[in-house]
Amino acid sequence: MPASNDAMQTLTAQWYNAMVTGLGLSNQAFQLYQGPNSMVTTSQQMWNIFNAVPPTAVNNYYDPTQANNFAPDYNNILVALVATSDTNFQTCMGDYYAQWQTYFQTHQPKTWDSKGISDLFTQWSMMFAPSKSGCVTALTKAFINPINTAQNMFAAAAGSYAWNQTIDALQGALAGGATKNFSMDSLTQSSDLSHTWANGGTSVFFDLFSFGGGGSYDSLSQKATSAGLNIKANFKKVTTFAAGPYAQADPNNPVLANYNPWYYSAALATAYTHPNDNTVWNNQSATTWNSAFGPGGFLQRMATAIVVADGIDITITSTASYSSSEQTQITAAAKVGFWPFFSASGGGGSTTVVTFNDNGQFTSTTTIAPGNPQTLGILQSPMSSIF
Amino acid sequence: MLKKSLLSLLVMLCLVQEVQAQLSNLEQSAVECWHATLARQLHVPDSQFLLYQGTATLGSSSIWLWNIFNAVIMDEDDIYYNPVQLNSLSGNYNWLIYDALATDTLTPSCDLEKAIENFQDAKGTFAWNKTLDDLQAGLSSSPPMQFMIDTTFIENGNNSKAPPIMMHMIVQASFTHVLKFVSYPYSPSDAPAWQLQQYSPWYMQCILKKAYYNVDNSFLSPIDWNSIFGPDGSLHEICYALVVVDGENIKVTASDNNNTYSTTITSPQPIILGVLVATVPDYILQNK
Repeated sequence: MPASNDAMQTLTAQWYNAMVTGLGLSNQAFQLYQGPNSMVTTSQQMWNIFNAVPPTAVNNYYDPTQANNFAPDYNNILVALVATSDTNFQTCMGDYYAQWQTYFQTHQPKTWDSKGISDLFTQWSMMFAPSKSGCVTALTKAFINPINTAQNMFAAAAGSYAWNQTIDALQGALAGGATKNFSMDSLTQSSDLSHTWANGGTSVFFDLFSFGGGGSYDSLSQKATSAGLNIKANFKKVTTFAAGPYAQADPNNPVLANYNPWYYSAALATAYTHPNDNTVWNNQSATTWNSAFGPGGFLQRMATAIVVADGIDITITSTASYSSSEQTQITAAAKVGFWPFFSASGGGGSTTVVTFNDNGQFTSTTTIAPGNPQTLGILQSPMSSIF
Repeated sequence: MLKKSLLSLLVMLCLVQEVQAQLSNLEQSAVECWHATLARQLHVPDSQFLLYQGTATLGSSSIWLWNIFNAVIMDEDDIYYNPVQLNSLSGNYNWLIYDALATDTLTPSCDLEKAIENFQDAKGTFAWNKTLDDLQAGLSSSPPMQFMIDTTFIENGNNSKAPPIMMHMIVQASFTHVLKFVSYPYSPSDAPAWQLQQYSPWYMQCILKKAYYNVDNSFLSPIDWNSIFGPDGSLHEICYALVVVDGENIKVTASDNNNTYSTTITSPQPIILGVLVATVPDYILQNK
């Protein structure tokens, strides 16, 4: 591993710790975000981020084409669950079960819901089996079977999986977001990630000082990081924006009114809390508790919120001295933009200006104008904490 | 600069020795101090108060509000609230009434059949007994809060010969309005409110109580009880209140052996500062 990679890994860790403290986040939940487009402009783009199952790392390069998403994972689990049969009623009725069946076949309820069935049963039991009146609950609860409810809701969504918040709500949240700023000195900031939720795991190096990427910049990166960097971050607006899978209808929301709720927590809860229980998991299914939730399972954790900022100024000062040819290289790299805001590369309301003093030390200032919100990270939660 | 004499600031001293013993670094100590101080100012037990991570503004509908109340809280983090909305009180309640053992006779005081009917009538929309309008009205008439933290954290490194690292922290916090907004699931026993006219009451507190205490295993089988309430069950803690503030202004100055750092956090709109959570037995006691 090149020395510059070690340095960038350290910087990534330092930036993570600085951001957690500076923005008031928990190192048991926060994951730094990097992606080809960190500027979210539509509800669907935002839902895609929530839908992506995060890896075990304090930082993640988000790939919008990634295969592991919550909605299909949830479906795989749903189809592996046993559709509960309601045998409780027959047990409760005992010898009277056949008599009720005969009566039910010749008498229609007024409405085919729990109240209609309940009224019919109560009428019958008053006449023929007063001692069995309480069995009605075992009969009517077929209408609130959680597994059936979940499967019906998922089918009704017909492949359109919304979350319960939209981009309009995010923009509203940002408008009321707090102003925050923090700084980081690479010579003093802790790079210890051992106490974080990912136990120090990092997935990719942020291009904090790769100058746009590529091996030709390694020597510059190493020089910058070994001499020390100071980063000052100012966010005019920052918000932690939570959302969950669309579970209950929000008919007054003009966007969500076009979607059907598709998620029902009771099904996933019972799936998670019954490992290897064949009364809950169909033992003929390819999906098992272990393949879903076990070590290496496809559904380890969920994104629960995104941390978004708007109106951003990042000033990076290096104490290393650069030759004139190196200065030319750095200035060229800055023109196409570099981390932390990839989407800002030459667009998205972003400008980056690099200046050098007489000693060849530089100051880089990246400014992203308000109206171009950037995703800084997500909050995640492991399944073991959710259920 | 805030003037102590005008604002009657309270100087909060965090218990440095205690903090040192429990925490691994100074920044974490500062967060824990902030959390404990806020809980004290709000007159709530530390164990019930969880800080919202970052800044969360208010949503625009009561459904948004109810989704927060409906989310079951995990109990792994003593300080921070993780706003996960994957596990719900309504979903767990569904299992309680679905798994309830049928008996030969109905119990008039806590009618399971009525509970099933109510739940079905809600048609998957689970309201709470307060709305977003209630929250906004309550916030505008709620009192202010100001306090100050002035404390020093000390961390001794592994090397006993090295001087200890010290951090002096001053926090001046003021809020123009602070509201503990309590709400419970919409129940038939709630007084009718016009804002809730379009929603059906779906929840009966007696069901949760009966299921949780489960005398003689008469309501749930032990297996079903464990899958909901047991150590690995799906119903951990329940949110019973949001702590909402308006006019947030927090100035933090921290200085260690080498540097001084200061920041000011302001929020132009009301934000959720944190949530209050209760274990199931506490929730049963509170929501009578």
